[in-house]
Amino acid sequence: MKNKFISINEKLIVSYLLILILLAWVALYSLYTINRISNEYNHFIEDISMLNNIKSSITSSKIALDNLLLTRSTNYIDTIYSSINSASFAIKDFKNENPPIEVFNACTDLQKLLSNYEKYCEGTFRVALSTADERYIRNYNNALKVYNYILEGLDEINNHIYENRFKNYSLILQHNSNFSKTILFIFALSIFLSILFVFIFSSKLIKNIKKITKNALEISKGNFKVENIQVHSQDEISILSNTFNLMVEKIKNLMREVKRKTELEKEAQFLALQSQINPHFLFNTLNVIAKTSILEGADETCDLIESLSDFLRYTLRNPSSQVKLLDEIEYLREYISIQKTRFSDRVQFIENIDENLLNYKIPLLSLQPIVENAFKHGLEGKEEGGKIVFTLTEKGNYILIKIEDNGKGFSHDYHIKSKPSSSIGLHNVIERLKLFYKNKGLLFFYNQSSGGAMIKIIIPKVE
Amino acid sequence: MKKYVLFLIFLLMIVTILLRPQSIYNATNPLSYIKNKDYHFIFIPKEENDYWDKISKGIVVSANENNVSVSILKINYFNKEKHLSRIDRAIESDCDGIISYTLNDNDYKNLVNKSIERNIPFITIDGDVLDSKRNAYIGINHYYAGNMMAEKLFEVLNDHGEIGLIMSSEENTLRLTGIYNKANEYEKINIIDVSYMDEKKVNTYKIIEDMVIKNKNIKGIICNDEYSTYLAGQVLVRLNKVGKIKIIGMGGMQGTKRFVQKGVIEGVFIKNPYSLGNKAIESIIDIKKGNFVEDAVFDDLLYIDKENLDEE
Repeated sequence: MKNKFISINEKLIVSYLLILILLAWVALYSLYTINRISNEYNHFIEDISMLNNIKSSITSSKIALDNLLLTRSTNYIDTIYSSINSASFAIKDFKNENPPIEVFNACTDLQKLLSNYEKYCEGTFRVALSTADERYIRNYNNALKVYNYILEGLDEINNHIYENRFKNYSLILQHNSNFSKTILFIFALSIFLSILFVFIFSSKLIKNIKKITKNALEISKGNFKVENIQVHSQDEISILSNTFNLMVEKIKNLMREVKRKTELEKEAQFLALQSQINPHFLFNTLNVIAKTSILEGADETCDLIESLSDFLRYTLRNPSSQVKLLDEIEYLREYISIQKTRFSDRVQFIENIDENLLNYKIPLLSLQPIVENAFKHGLEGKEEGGKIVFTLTEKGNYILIKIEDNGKGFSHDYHIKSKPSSSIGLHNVIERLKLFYKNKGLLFFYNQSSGGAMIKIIIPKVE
Repeated sequence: MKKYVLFLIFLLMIVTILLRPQSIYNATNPLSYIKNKDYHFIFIPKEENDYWDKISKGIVVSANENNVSVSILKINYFNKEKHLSRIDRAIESDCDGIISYTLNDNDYKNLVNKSIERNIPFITIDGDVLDSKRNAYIGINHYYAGNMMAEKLFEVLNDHGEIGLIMSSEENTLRLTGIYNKANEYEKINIIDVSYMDEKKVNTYKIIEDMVIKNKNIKGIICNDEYSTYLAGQVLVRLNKVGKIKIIGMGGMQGTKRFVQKGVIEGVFIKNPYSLGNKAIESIIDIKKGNFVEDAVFDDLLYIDKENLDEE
């Protein structure tokens, strides 16, 4: 049952279904019992009325016989025959009703008695109608005797039916009392269980909803320091609470990200500001120096100063903005040309650029610090033969930027984050790349087997 | 959740089975259609008590086994007139055969002969009409039974003393003859009192008590039926005569066994009513089929006293 999702809907439907089944059972069983009782009652009434019919038929035949003897008239013969006949048919019907075996046997006897009775009656009125005296009396006495036997038999059957039906009735009564007790027990149990179910179900539901509401209120106030909601149920509420927890976590992450972004931007701005000391004055001065160098015939100095001027201007742009790779590489070249002047032939810069990639976007000032790093750490101590290789290639959907040098490489304990002051530029680049590419950009630091360092940047293509 | 529904249905099924709805269904609906059997007999017991109920049971069971049907015409207490009318009713019912208790007198003889004349076989059970045309008698040999009872009592009394007899309402001449014939063989045995129970047996206690009080020297009593045997035991206990008066009687009632165990009653003879019923049905079927049936089928009597009480 654990970890299995059961919706509130299903819980409700099943509980209703359970109650419905219970009620249906009670109703059906009650119907069955009522049906049995009414069946029993009907049989009883039927039996009694049938016996009464037989009795009245026989009685009327006897009355007819008496009347015949009194009046000596043939009018009653029909009545005698028809009464006996109808009694005989009624007994036959009664026998077909599947009575208890004793009653059945008694009916067999009654049929025979009835036929004897008919015989004696016939004998009585034959003699009575043919003679004027009372010679019929022997037959009449016999008829009377058998008539009494028949009534006796009927009484016995009657008693037997009563006895039997009462026995059945007490059986039904016993059964019904058991049934009533069972129903009472089932009802009590189901009411108890229903109340328990409703109580547990609703209290759990409301408790969980309250937890969520409380957290939601806290968050709406801006307090994100809420604990995760723990819900131990397997329904929609658990989904709701889990999603809510997830949402809170995501919001927290987003806020952390925004905060960091702002901090980094501030840092970059600070860096920019550091090199932005009265730029107009700087540019004007540089222009004057450039012109003066031309007048003095120092063309090379003029180029250098113009490169520096362009470089500075680029640096002074908004550090959070994005530029095309083309611009960034152009800026890099300016930087290289300045550095080349500084290092002259001691350093060799080799570009390896896929022109198709130049239109993709990259954060401003993200390549220069790395190259600067290469100059600073890789080549500074070297007397000659320094080499920096800049490669821009496509790798699937990504752009691969490689900056290699043949310097002394990274020391083993080199770690960017541990030395923020000395490598603040590199650190900043890494963070900004992460932010810009939403963690899809990758930066790798290698020591090459041939000596020297290699930095690999893998960034997605951003138009 | 499905399993809750299945569990409830299962539970209700069990409850339904435990309530046994079939029982009231069976009670209100006869199970099978009753067919007419090969023969239809009528059995008329003497009265309604344990002994005759056992005979009836033997008859009904045997009838079912042999595919014949039997109507039982009961009377609560033995009453000769009523009993005769029952037999007459059975004859007028034109059944295939009558099994009835009879007394050895003319009224019964006439009825039995009437039955035979109307071609209805007649078997007497437990009691017999000797010179009638009845087909067979099933039961104990009353003469022999009286003989045995007397012999047992005399043996207990060391062949001398005064004894009394308690007889059933109807005159059981054979039994009486058996006892007297036996008594004649012993010189020192005197039968000083013979009392008869009434039809409903209400006077039984009284006549036994009277017999014991009136006859100071009475040493033994022979009781000729189950009820009087049991009551004789009670009388002896009440009058503090246990051991002073010996009783030989007929067994079968629950309390009698206890009296025998305690030594209040010396010994009892026990009949096997169930086998009587069985034999009656078998004999009457044989008669209907034309097979040979012995004139009298005697059933064994079992004597029980303190020593062999547990063997029963």
